[in-house]
Amino acid sequence: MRQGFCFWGRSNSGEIARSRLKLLLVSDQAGLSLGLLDQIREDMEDVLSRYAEIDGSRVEIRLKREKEEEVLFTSFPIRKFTDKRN
Amino acid sequence: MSEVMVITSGKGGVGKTTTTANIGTGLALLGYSVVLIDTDIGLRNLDVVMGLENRIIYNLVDVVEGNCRMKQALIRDKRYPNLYLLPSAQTRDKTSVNPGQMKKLVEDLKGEFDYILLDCPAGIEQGFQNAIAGADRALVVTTPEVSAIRDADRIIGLLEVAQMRRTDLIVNRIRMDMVRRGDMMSVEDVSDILAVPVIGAVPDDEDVVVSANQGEPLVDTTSLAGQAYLNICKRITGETIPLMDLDPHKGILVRISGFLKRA
Repeated sequence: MRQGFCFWGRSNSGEIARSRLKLLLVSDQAGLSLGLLDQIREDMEDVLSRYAEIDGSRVEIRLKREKEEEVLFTSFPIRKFTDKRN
Repeated sequence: MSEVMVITSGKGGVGKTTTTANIGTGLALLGYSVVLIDTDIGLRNLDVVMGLENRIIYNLVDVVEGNCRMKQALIRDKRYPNLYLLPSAQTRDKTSVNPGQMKKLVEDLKGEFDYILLDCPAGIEQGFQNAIAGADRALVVTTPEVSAIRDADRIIGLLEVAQMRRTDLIVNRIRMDMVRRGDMMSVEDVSDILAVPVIGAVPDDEDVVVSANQGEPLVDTTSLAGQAYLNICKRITGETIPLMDLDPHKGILVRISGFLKRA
């Protein structure tokens, strides 16, 4: 999907490149492929959906480098908690 | 005592050889004695960019194998005072030399020159290990593009592992028109992402192609790239020079018409 050009003729492909690079470099340094990161997200969604209804379209998973270690941040918007164990 | 610098990048084609040629020539023009060493065995290019390809008799591999003395392999560039080139071999490959031999070769040159510049091949295998073996500091060249920066990051990591004493960044082929439009990352962006200090930024300049065609380095000419390279040389020697405004000089007419377009 092409990014649109706004009125002033500015595009944001530079900004897109910056965000992509930040994620790329952290995952390269961590030795974690981005495909695997996505797999982790999917697995976590499966587990959480046993206990809650999750808005799948707004799930976020991020890998950040803090000091000397990688930290995995996830965010799962919950519509409501259900308990499907019974 | 010599300062030994390796010019590296990871990614191919971002301007290592051009940078080596121009920084080496610039330092010679500033009055220092310089030797350029092409460590890209099998794909030599520094000779061609310097316009010295017709003078090659012996090369780096000959010196390492003892087929000749160093003096016989070194080519003195007659255009500039105290500038020498040690060319690479074209018909051998990277396994012809090992890091230990490179270290010794660099040691043998120390004391003879103020600056020893090693032009590193692309990649992260033996060519890279050979090139960094004798170096005190590294200049990492990158362009403001995703793949180049990703590779530069890997190289920076490898330089840390190799305990390179000092690493500086050169951002090459910057196009300020694209940066202003938001279509290219700025020098600051690149430096932030890689977390390495910038020693210089070189604008994309047609004169670089012309200079390579002619085998005449363009440092210290009126071209923007030439000026940028000269500034890098001065910073290497310890001068503090602010980063150039990379916008090519626009006439007033062009500025006004640009304003009218937006109104």
